[in-house]
Amino acid sequence: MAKTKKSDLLHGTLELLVLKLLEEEPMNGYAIGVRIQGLTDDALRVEEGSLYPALYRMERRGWLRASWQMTENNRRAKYYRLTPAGKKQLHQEKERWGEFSTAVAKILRSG
Amino acid sequence: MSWLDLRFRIRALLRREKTRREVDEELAYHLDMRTKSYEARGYSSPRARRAAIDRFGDFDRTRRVCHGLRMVERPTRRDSLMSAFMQDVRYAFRSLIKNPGFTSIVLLTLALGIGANSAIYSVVDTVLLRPLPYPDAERLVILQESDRLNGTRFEGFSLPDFFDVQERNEVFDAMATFVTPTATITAPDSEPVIVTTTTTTYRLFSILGVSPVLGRGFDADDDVVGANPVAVLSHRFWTARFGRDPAVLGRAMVLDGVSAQVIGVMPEGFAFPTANIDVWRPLALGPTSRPRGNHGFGVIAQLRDGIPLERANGDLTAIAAALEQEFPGDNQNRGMWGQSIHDALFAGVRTQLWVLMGAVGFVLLIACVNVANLFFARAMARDREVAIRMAIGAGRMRLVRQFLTESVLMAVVGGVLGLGLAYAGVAGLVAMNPSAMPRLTDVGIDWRVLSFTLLVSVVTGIAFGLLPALQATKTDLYEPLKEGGRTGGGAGKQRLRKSLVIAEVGMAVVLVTGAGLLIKSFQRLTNVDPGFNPTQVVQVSLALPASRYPQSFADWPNLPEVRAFQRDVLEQVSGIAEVESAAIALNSPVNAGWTTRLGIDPLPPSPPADLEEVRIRIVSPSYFSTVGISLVKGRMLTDADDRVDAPPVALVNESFVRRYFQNEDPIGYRVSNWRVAREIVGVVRDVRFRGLSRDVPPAVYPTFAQMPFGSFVLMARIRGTPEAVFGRIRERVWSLDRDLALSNMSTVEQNLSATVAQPRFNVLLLSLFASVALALAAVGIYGVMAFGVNRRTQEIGIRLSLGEGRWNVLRRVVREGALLASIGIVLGAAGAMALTRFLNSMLFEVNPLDPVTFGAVAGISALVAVIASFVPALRASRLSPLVALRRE
Repeated sequence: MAKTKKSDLLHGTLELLVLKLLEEEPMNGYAIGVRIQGLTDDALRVEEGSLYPALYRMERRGWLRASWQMTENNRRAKYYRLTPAGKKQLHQEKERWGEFSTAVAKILRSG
Repeated sequence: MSWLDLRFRIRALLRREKTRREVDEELAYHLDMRTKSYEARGYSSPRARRAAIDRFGDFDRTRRVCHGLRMVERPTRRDSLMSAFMQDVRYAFRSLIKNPGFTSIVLLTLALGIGANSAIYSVVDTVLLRPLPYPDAERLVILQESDRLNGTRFEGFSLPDFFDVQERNEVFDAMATFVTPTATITAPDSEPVIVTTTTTTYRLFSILGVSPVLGRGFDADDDVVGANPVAVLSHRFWTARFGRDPAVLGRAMVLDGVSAQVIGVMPEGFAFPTANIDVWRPLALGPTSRPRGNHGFGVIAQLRDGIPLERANGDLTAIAAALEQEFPGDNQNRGMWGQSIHDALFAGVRTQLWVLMGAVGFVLLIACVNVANLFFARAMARDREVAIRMAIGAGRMRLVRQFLTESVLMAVVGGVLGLGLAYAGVAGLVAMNPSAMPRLTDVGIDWRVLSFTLLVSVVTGIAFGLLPALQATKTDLYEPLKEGGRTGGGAGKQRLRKSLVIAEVGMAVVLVTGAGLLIKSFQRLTNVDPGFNPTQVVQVSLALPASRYPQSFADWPNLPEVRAFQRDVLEQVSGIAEVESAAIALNSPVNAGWTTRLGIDPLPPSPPADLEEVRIRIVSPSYFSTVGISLVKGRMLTDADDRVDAPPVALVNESFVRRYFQNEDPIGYRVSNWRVAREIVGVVRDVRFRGLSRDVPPAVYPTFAQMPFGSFVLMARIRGTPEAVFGRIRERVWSLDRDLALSNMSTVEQNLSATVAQPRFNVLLLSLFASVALALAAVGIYGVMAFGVNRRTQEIGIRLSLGEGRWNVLRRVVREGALLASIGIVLGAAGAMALTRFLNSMLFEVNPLDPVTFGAVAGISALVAVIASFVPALRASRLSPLVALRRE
């Protein structure tokens, strides 16, 4: 993605969070949602309607690879793992997020 | 049906389809976990579920988006069309393995249908479709003479006629004439063998456009009177006799006592005019070295470029007319004409092979109908599966594709099995080899047959899969789901299946009718009285080489060496303990022999037309007792007649008396040919020497001594088994002449049976296919009736509980099956009436519309139909009303 549009950035926020979480360990969709909510102390509530399409999109782009595994309570669930391409993307997103938040912070301070 | 139940079903179904399953399972997992988390907070289960669904938001939209993201894959990923196809195939495999009974019935049916087609196709392809191995085959023409007097259109040329046409025509680039005598090869260190040779004018190979692989062919110098004898070998003979030794060139080979130098070897597979030629030699005869009335030369010609066959035939007719003027004695009523080499070789078997191809085509269609019906039944049983898959968003095309993948997969596997059948079948066909079938020994399963089989399999798969697939996916989404799942499909579907069964019965009736006609014809044929007693008679052909047994026509009929040998050999063979009597004849009683012009003196009541030719069958006096031909009038020939210096006498057959004497007494009249007049001393029974299906022409029997030939058939009526006697006969013959080859050692019965090999071949195959067709049709009727009974179990239960008799139920079902069959039988009979005329040329004394056969076929088919519907009818009548009603 060479061009960075606003909507992409907003999408990108969720993607960044997902990538970041998956950098630590493979997780299933439900766990990702719960985790984001938990880590942000319920400040960020992830909509299922956004989460799953985002996961599928990222899988399609080759950032994630999915596989079926058993959960601890013995149910099949789809686990997502970061691919090398995903790792690279995570770095880029992180940098872009840094630039973006710095820029926003500057604007806010200037006000 | 509860949501959980449905979800269970969904999951069971989704397991079979990766993409959709994954999305749905993933989302379902999410919902479950969310539900659990609400339950952990103390919600009741239903409330927790509702809350989870509410929390999720627009579930369907999310699912659709995810599906969409999944389906619109980047084309570089393996998970694209190809893998969707592989998925279909895997899914198909699983679902077929899960139903072994269904699968094996379908596969067996398909293997039969496809295998029969592959086998017959391999014959049709090799015999008819493959181009002839001559580069310019379209320009090759086989010439015949015709005789307006007796109506024959297939007579050989006379040698002078050939040379005249060769000189006068303006339509051919080149011509060659040929005869195929047998010859005996002798060598000091091995047993004499008889080989089939072709002697020909020198242009034969260049006309055919084939050159030797080794050495050279003939040139003009080899083909003049008195030229050094040369020979060209067939590849097969070169391999068998010389082990492919190239040093064979220049070697001498003793043929009929004459040494000939080997100058060439023809390429593998080259076989002209017949498949069994071992050696070609130049004819080396001048234009008038054979009489103009002596017909027996084959002629091949190469059309001049751009000259159509009609034009050539015009030219031939003109030349024949001119020759008729010039040689009124020999050529009166003679015509000449040509046909393409393709027609000459294949016209005789073309009809037969296309009839067989049509028959197996019908068998395959019937097999398709049966399999389609099975698939219908299964598709209906899968109603709910289809409805659920469509409800969760599987497109109709996707499902049709899935169904088609299954049926094509079935057909391809069936095709592979069918190839196995075809392989065995082809071996059987070749083993049965009816001698008249050219190129049959080349038949085998090759890539052409393989591609044909693959094509047929795929088309078959689509043919029997498409209708059920379309029908099944037309399912109303709600009905199968809401009804607690009584499967069975609507009346419309059942109607379609019934029409298919009617069609299949109709096709079976067409085949059975065809087979019935052939069977009847074959019975008529084999019931024909041959006019002699062929059992316990053995025969062997002998040819005395002129080098040691002079056969000069200048001395004829005084051939003392030939006669001495013939007397000795009869004496020797008669001395064998198992031999009751021995005889020699120019031709065996199942060989048509040859004709000659005949005068009758004084003129009989209806004398022969000008130049009419009559069969001459030269025999030793013992011939009639040996082969069992009885005397009708007068006296038999005796040994006293079998002397060159005795008064010339002859017997005639009944046909001769009918034709020329209008059944008056012919004894005392004289028949004359070749300037000898023979007194008719007796009349013998007609013998079907032209074959059982042909009428018996007038024939004259002179004695061997008074009309000697060096080639003849030795026959013996024996006690015990022929095999034991064969060895004895060989010993006795070799005790007289160690260098004589004995050929075609066989029983007369075998030779008689060989004359009906062709019709027997047709009868066997067509009966086989007809039986398969009828069996398949019976299975079809059974299937539809059984399915109908199953579907109406409840109705039948109600009827039974309302007091309807079991007998009534049984009758109702059987009647319905019989009704279907009758419609099929009527339609089939109509189809047969239209089609059996193609069999006409294969029938003997049977009308293609023979009412007895048509009636019998209708009866048999109806009977089979009743039996086929009886089993399900019986099951219906034995239903327990309670069980039937309770059944969901």
